[in-house]
Amino acid sequence: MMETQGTAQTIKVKSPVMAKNDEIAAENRARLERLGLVGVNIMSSPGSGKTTLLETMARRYGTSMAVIEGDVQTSRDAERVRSAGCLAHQIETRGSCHLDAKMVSDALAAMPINPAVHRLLIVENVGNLICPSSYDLGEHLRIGLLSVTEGDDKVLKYPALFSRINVLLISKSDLLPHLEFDTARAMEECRAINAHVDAFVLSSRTGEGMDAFYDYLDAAVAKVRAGRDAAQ
Amino acid sequence: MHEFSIATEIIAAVERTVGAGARVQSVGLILGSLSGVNADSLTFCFTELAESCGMGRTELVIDARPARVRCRECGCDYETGDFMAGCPGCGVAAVEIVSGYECDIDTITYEEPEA
Repeated sequence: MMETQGTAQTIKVKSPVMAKNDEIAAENRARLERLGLVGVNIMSSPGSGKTTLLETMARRYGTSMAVIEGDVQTSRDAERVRSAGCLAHQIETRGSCHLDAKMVSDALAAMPINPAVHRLLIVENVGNLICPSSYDLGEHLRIGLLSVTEGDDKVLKYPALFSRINVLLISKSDLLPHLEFDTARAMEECRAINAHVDAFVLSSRTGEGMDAFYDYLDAAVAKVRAGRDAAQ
Repeated sequence: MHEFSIATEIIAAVERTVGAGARVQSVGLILGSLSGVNADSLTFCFTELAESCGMGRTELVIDARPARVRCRECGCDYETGDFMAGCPGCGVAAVEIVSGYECDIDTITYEEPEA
């Protein structure tokens, strides 16, 4: 549609600003599926325990888990995950508060992913409950991690993130006896705006609740692998 | 604060659509309340970037949209900024979000670059 005003013309575009990002994200997702990997995007506040969760997961998944670490600065998280036995690639965003699909695409190109070995690609997003939610990275699962030290009222303060996650992880459950965090409230508020969210209460430190989460991830891996095998 | 990144994406999308070098008078943007984008910060970033990219003094005209939801209990459609306030029809607070995540370029008003 075009409208002319003097020498200027107005065109109707109706195009998402994120169209280019979404295009690259779709390529990332297709690439992971060809390799038989499930992409997981973990988003949370800084200090909620994302890297500790990955260290615990590394004990279960070992070398089958590959990790992309997103941080504003330092490669400390990649070093921690590498020490736990996983392939890890650090993205230093140098000021940017989120990861985008291009960053993940570049990281994937630089990582020696082996389809015979790797089953999970975990992306640890920059610690932030706002900006990362706008960017599709090409993941299959979006996880929102909420630690009990942050307070049970956070879900509705950040609805853009919590309404679009597949999985809510309420972490640091070993600290629950010392806090007034109401897990039922956090889950209820998340389900109020996100009918299909799966929720797990767990502790990376003690291992409580981890098995149910692993079963969930294993099912996701089986689904992607079955899809890849059917396509071959 | 990812508004600078969003502004960069808008500029790139406008250039892809109308060609680099065109003088752009205004860009109409639909912005949902769940987009996670702050309208004032975005306008500031966009205006500065557009001028430095040679588009001229381009106005970003934001059409702010509230979140629209559908009650999962009774099917009532309504706009809301408070998800726990409950459905105006049945009072239940359980919704499917119908819209509100938009961050879409709606229109571009521009002059063709002189040959």
